[in-house]
Amino acid sequence: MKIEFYQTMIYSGPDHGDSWPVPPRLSDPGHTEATMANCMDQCGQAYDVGFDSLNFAEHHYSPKQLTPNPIVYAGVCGKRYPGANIGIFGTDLPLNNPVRIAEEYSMLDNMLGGKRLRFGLLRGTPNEYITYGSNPWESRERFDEAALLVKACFVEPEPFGWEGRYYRYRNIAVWPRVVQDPHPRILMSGNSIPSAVFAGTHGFDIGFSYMAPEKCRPNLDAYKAAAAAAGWTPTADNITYRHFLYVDENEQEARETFAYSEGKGLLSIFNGATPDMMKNMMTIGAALGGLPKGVPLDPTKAPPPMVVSPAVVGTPDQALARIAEIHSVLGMGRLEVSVGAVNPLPHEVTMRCLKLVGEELVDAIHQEAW
Amino acid sequence: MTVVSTPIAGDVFVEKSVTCDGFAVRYWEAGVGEPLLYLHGAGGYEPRFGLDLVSRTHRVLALEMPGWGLQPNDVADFDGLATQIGAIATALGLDRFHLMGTSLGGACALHVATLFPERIISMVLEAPAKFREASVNPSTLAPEAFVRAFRTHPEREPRMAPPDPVFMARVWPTVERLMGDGTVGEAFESRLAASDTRTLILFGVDDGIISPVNGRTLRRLMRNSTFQLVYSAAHDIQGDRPEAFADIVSDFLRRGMGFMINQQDGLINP
Repeated sequence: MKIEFYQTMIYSGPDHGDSWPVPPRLSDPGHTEATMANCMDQCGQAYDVGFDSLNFAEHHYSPKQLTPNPIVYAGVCGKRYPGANIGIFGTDLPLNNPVRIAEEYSMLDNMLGGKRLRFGLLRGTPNEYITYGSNPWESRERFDEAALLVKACFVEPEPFGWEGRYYRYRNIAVWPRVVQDPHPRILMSGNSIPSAVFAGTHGFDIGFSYMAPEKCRPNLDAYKAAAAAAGWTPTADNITYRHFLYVDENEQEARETFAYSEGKGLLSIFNGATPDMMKNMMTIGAALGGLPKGVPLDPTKAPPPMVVSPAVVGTPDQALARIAEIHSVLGMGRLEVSVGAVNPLPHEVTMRCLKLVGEELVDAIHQEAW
Repeated sequence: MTVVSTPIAGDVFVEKSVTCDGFAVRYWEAGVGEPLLYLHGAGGYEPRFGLDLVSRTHRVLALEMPGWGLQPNDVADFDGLATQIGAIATALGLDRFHLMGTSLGGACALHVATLFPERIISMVLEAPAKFREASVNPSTLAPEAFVRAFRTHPEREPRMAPPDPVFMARVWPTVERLMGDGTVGEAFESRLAASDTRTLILFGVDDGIISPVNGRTLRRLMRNSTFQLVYSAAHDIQGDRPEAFADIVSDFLRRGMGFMINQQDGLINP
């Protein structure tokens, strides 16, 4: 199994606001510069200690991830560490112009020598839909169409047009052409059954994030069944599982440090949100889940909240045992971890954790020596 | 897109009056739906296509505030005027209502909303004149500069005209008494910070009277507010961009902060 470093690039300044979106006045250029520089060094540390890929993701309007366009940072990182594989998991596809996305990834694939890039196409979290004013009720259909359009942009050798349901381009010819043939590997979310089926049907990789492995398992089965129906068989290498990690030789230290970083959890960016903003999130969440436009929200019919799996936290031995547990359920070939969760850890703490992972975990993970 | 189709701004409104606290208050009413009480700027009620279009979705009641009619109003401050507005709303039979204010009317609306928050469904502030950093007193402007400060599109109907000197001589003492020196004390900032009123703050990018930077201040202080800049518009947004004004105002009044969620159908063909 491979282990990949997810650089979330959490702003290291003191004030993270208490809501979403966070006022830009709280973004201090000094702290931002330090964050970006330190995070680059952390990528270097991860690469040096044996991580198999340096990964990034698109998120907006928040100090929790300073990568509204992760492709920019990935390009710099890829040049800084010429041997490193680069992953972007991923682009929020329905928010973006799919042709532009294909162009940017084609450019990055060329910059990285045509063998180091993989990327993900995702739908984004509910708040992302009020980033650029994207219609959340169209998210699923737009995503499916846009994903196939991106793929077409990579493989069509002649100028072509696209007469879609949601996208219309009468003239497309992406330069530079991607180097990888037919294109860099593309990952999609497996956090819902329809997403998993779509990924399997169209030959994409699949990724699960934070959900309990047991909850992911039916989706994985659906992915494999869809792939089989489409005539191909995914291997472990097609499957990624993402989670938080923090290890320390001292268990108590590990758990206390992670507890600080975890704060109030993944949804803590909405701690200070007004009821109106929370209603927006619920409306969008329901739309992404398939509730038709105009149908009133019914909290009694809301899907159960995502069951977040225990993170990979503790001593190296405990972390390895947790990874083995996850692997026993999903059989994934790739584990993607961030160091800590949503609150920023001091740079030296992150560096120390990465070093310890390298010393104590990387070889064992590679060899699946649980 | 909403389209202006009436020939004369304000034509859709019917003039009425109500008596309250000794004032005979004129108001202009149009439309059906949830009530929207409108408070004009320092120059008094001036019909605009923007408000006409809002009346397609809401029952708009545009007040002539006490002091802008024929009777003088010796009210001391905005809280006093806001209390009068609250009484007039009651006399009009309005229990809960949307509130909109332009410029000085926007400043007054902030006082109404913080004095009677339980009565306000939501609030729209068009270039509100409560905070006045980097702003200009219109009475100091020459006629041409006056028009430029108010309108990016002076050619659009109804044309912006410099104020009637007789009218201004009558109302300006009241305006200056209410507006004071522009200082907003900590006590009022605390009232705004405690407010949960759902508020839309609109500023024209080219506003030459109240600088749009004051929109930031309100957005920072009012947690349940949204600050929107209107391109190609100055102080008189309704006059410069009536269709855009009506689109965003009606959408906000109808959907509240849900107006941030794009509902527009993007399907080209099934």
